[in-house]
Amino acid sequence: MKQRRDTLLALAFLAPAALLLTGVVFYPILQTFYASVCEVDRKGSPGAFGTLKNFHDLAASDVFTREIIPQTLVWTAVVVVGTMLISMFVALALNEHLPGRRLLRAIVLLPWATSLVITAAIYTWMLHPTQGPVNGLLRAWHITDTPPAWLARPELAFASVIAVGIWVSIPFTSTVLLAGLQAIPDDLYEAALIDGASAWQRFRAITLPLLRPVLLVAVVLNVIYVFNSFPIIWVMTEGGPANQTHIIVTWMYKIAIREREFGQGYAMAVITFAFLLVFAVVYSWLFGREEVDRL
Amino acid sequence: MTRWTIATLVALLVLLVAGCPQQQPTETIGGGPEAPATGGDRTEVRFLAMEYDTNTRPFMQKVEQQFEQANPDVDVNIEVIDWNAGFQKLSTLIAADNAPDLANIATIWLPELADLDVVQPLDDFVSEEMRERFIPMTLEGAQYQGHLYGLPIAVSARALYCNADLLAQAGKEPPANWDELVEVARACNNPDEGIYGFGMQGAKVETDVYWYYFLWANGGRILNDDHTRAVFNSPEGVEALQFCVDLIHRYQVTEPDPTAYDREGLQELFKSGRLAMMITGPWFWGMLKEDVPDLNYKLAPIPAHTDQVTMAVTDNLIMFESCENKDAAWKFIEFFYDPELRLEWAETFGMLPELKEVAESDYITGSEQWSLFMSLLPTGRFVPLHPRWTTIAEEIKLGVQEAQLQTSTPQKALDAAAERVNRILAQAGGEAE
Repeated sequence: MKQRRDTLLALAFLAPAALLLTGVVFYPILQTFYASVCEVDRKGSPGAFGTLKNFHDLAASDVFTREIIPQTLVWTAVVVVGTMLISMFVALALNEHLPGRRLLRAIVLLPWATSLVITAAIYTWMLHPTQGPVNGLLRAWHITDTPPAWLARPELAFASVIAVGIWVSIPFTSTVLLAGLQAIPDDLYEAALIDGASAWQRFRAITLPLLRPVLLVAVVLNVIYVFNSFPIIWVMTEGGPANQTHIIVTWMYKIAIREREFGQGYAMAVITFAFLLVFAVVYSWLFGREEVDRL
Repeated sequence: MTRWTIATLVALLVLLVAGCPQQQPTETIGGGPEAPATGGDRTEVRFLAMEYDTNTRPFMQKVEQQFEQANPDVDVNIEVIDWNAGFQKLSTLIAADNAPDLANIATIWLPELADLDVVQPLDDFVSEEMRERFIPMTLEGAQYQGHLYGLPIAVSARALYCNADLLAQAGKEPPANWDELVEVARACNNPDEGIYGFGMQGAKVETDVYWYYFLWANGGRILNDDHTRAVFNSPEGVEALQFCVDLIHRYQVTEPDPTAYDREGLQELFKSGRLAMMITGPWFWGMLKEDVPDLNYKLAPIPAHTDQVTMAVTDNLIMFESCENKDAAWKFIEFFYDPELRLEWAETFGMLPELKEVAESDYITGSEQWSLFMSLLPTGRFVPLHPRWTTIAEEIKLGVQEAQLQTSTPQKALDAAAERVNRILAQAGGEAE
């Protein structure tokens, strides 16, 4: 009897959140899935159901298959790997007993509080070919007298947006990793020290394995965020020059919102979703074993 | 817990995170003045007004008040909305059968809306007498498939802005044609000091337009008459693009790496006094006056080659088919084209007048800048009115950028772009049938 009451109570508590999620998350997702297999008009409303035209149109687009998809994969891989490596160093450093550690932690978190659009606009200005401080410093320190126009050439522009992508991902990632580090009991390290383990051995044998669940979450979340990240690229380059910095989500905006090919937009949203889902499941399958044993 | 449970949990996590609404790139600014409680039998007219700048809202509020004072039986509701969000909002309203009665739209949206049969042709509303009051070419922007679909509300053209001090130092006058452009740009160019002869746009929206200035000046055209084929890769087009590429790479008189500069980027460069010449619109002199009042500048027509041209843009005030009180809505339109009001509009927003009476006013004829732009207007060309214009422009922009980056020759880049555009045209033609 009591158990039944508890269940009812639990359901009552869950209901508002469930309703909200259904309305603002699940419904739009299902609607997108539905519209992607419909004929879609130029107003974006789905018409006749049951066609793969939208996906065919996408597959027939050379730009999408030969440029946008590879660029998206490079963007995601480089930004996530770069972010994880740098954030690891930052987290390890902040976990040490440094003077002013609290202040440093706050500073690392600060960029997170800034809107991505503003960050991207500031970087656009910093990278300005003639008036930007980046090239100003390069000239002032005599590193080069003819610094490049960062956003003008496809390769440099792509490298630039990737660097900014890494920069904005560090606060979140290093905070998550730091929390993971703090959860590792100190006595493990003390025991290892007594056994004469080197810093690298301690990192390999204690830190990494115990950090694994946190690393898993950090990688999965970062891949999702970065894969879907719109503002940085759109503000800095709008996908240019010559489409060379577009990723799926900016291409989706260009195709669906600007050019109002909503059908292809829906198809891209579904592809993105499917990719991320498969990635997350496979990744957690491969690397989630350790804590399966522990749970 | 099994591996499957973990995998499912992670999958759910993805569902949640990936489903969260992304940051919107643009934001609707406010919702406009609230509608006063509609008393009794006043007929309502809803006007969705795209915002030109911060003056739009107060201006529209004033118009609303004045009109309602003169017409107490009509209740006008003007909602001011940001341009970028405008088309989306309009599309949503149309899809929900809740279109406003009036809206000011970009001319490039017109074919698309007209094809949806939601725009009211105004042929029967505009009297011969009223038509006479407009400068004829300004009405062309709303002429689509034999009907007049709207009235011009924000006319503009483009001209060559010259930094007068830089030109004077070099002992030059504004160039009239391509040869002189090269000569003047060379004389003013001083890359060591960070000063460049001519600004070339290569990034973001309207990169293609910057090339049309040269295409049109060389007698070229973008599409053929019935919009079934791309003709911009004609010898005239290739020569025009080659000239742009030469300005960058052969004569080296532009800022280096134009693909880093959008229109705003060029305007900033001009404002900082480091650009001798660039092509842009009438809004720019207002910015110059406000931001760098000490900068001496001169206006000139866009340098000609075989033809003297400029680009004309007219946003249009349209009425929707679904409007229930067309007479009331029309009454408002007539009120809106009051010469005094339109002069105030021109002064407030820096738009060129579309009414002859306003164009002949002392305010316009007494100003050098206004007169120059008005004199250019008859040479104005419109971009083709095609429902897929945005997509077409993106393809052309890609070709222009490839040539600027020298990853392709002008001929190859334009041929490839023409092929892509032809595919879009064929597709659109097929749909129309």
